[in-house]
Parts: sequence; structure tokens; C-alpha cells
Amino acid sequence: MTREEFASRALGYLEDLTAFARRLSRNAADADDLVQGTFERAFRSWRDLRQPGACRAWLFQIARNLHLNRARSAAARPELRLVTDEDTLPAAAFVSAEAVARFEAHDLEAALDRLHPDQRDAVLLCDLWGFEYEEIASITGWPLGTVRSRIARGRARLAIHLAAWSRDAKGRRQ
Amino acid sequence: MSGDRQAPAACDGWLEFLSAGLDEALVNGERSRVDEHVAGCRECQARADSFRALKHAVARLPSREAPPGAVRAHVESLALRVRRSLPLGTAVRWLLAASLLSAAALYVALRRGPDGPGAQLAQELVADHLHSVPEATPAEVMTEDPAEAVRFFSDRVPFRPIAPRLEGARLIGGRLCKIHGRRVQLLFYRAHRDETISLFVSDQDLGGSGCRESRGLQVCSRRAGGLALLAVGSGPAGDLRRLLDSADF
Repeated sequence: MTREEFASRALGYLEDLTAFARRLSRNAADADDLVQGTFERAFRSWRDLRQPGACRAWLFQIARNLHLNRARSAAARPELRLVTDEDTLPAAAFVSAEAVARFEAHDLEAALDRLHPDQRDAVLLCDLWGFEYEEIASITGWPLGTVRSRIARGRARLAIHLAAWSRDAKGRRQ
Repeated sequence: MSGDRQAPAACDGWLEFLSAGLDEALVNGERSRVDEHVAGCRECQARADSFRALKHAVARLPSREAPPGAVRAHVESLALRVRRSLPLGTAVRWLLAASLLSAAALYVALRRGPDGPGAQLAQELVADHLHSVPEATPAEVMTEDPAEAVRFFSDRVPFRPIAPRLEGARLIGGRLCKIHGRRVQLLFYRAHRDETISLFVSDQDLGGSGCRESRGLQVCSRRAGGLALLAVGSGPAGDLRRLLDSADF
């Protein structure tokens, strides 16, 4: 791959990276910094990219690593944070496929927000950006089995959250 | 919701397999074991349906966002710097090598037999399908009448538009779309079991006949009447292939 090809290819993913950075950062200014930082690093080290077809996953990997590094630095400051248990799945009903169709995008976003960050990343990388499990493993650095498990648990928790909201909404209507 | 059911705790062990099955990520004999279990377990069937619906709902959220102008300008300036940093001698050598490679690629493309859409194109079409189906975004023209659909696309696409009849599916509407920056038709059909099929019609060369799976959906393509027809649907590839082969216009 030539520099020219890399530059064209990478620029084609600017909108994907912007959406990813906004989900990681939850703050427009930080997201903008993250996008610029990602491309600065990518253009510096584009020769490390061995397969042109892996360019998108490689950019996501850089963005995620940059974000995690910054988050670790910021963690030196005391912070109150809601901790969610990643492993325990409550014994509860799943939302039905028919009910999913009735939810608005903002309901789904709210349910995604309630997931453990690793599960949310796993579900979004798989379902929103369409990455394969191997690509998600390279982006996150997780073993394949962990990728598979986090996607499954993330989906299960989503299904449980939405089922609870669905019941609440029905209760309010009655 | 009447459809919300709580599965027995024993079924929790199947969750990971149901989820991976949806992503075509099962290995060795897992697929047959999962299929066998699900066939006899209504709860796991409902959970698999729930996962599938959630997967498609998440896929319809926006996956691309425009950056602020200043960010775009900064990133484009970085790209420009990378492009300009190429020494002239190297550039000429690479240009020659690239020309040879392109010629070789063209030769191979012309010689090779029919194949399906490329992976990147398939991914883009699936994303367009998920974001554009009338369930997600209202179509620009809602009609079952092929003539009305053709009238809508007239003067909007750079070729003579069509609205093919597909065996076992009925036209429900359409919208304008772009592939590789060129305007194409995007027609929607309702097939059996209420499945929505997206049919992209383009005058570009977008590959030969074949099917490719992307994000759990199938993308099939064929050429007819000088046009490329590409269908996206959630059913088996064979069904979509037959539907596409039945296109009559």
C-alpha cells in the first residue's frame, strides 16, 4: 500500500471514527481531540499497517487505545462512578423480538448506556460497525473467547433492560 | 409484553452459542448442537429471536457522524502532508509500479469468472439497507406500482430507471441512494414472512453474479440489461439468489 492509498483509505473512515470517538468520549470536545489524535498517530505510523483491508479496524484500535490511555491518566483524579457487575446475569425475562421493533432509537441508546463499558463496546463494534470477532479482538486486545462472551452478555443485558422498560410502559398504560 | 418470557436457568448456558450463531461465529460442531437444542426449546428460540431483533436495531443506529469542519480540515491537512512527503524519484517509481499492478488487476478482473459483490461494497450495502428500509426511515416514494416508481426515478438517476417484478415479493417503495458517489435506485420489496428486501440498481460495474454474507445479512448480485442489480435480505442466500434471478423488467 502506498502513502497515497493509505491517506485516501483512512480519510474514508473519518465519519466512522467520529461516531466511535463520540461514543467513547461522551463529550464533543474530547471526541474531537480523540479523532485528531487518532489520525495524527495513524499518519505517523501507517507503515505498521500490514493489510490494507484491516485499515478500519486498525484506526478503531488506535482510537480505543488513545482513549483508554487518556482515561487512565484522568483516573488519577477522584471520581464517583457507577460500577456495574459484568459477569452476573440476573434471572429475568428477555424482551420479545416484536417489542424491540416498538422501541425508539433513544430507548436503545439509554439501554446501551447502562451496559458495562466493555460489553457496550463489544456489542457496538459487532452490531453497529459490523466488525468480525477477530477484528474486535485486535481492536480491543481481548482473547476471542472474551469477545464472544462480552457480546453475548451485552446482548442479554440489553434484552433484560428493555424487557423491564417494556413492562413498565405497559403498566403505566393500564 | 406477552412475548417476554423467562427461560429456565439451564438455558443460560446456551446464551453465548445463540449470540455467536447470529454472527456466524460458531466453531466445529457447535452449529449442529445449537440448532438441535433450539429446535426443541421454545425459550431459546425466543431468546435467539430477541438477539436477532436487537442486533438489527443496534445496526440501525447512526454509525457515521460528520466531524466539525475544523476537525475535518485538520485531518485532511495531515493527509495532504503525508501525500506531499513522498520524494519525487520514489513517486515516479511507485507510479510505474502502481500502473503495472493496476493493469494486472484489470487483466485478472477481466479474465476471472463471475463473482459476488466485494466485501467492502457488501458491507456498505448492508449498512444502507439497515438504515434505509421503510421501517427505519420513510421511503421517498411509497408505491406498489412499478410505473410510478420508474417515474419517481426518471431524471434522478443517470440511467434509464427500472422497477423489476420479483417472484414472490411485492414492490413497496424506493429512495435515491449513492454507490461510489454515483446515484443509484434503491427499491424496497416485501417478501414472504414480512422480510424487507432492498434492491440496488446501478449502471456501474459492481462485480459479477454471486452472493456474500455481511453482518448476518446476504448480499446477492447479478447483471441484467447493462445494469447491476444487488439485493440485500436476511433470508438464506439461495432464496435471495432465486429472487434476484426472477427479476423481470
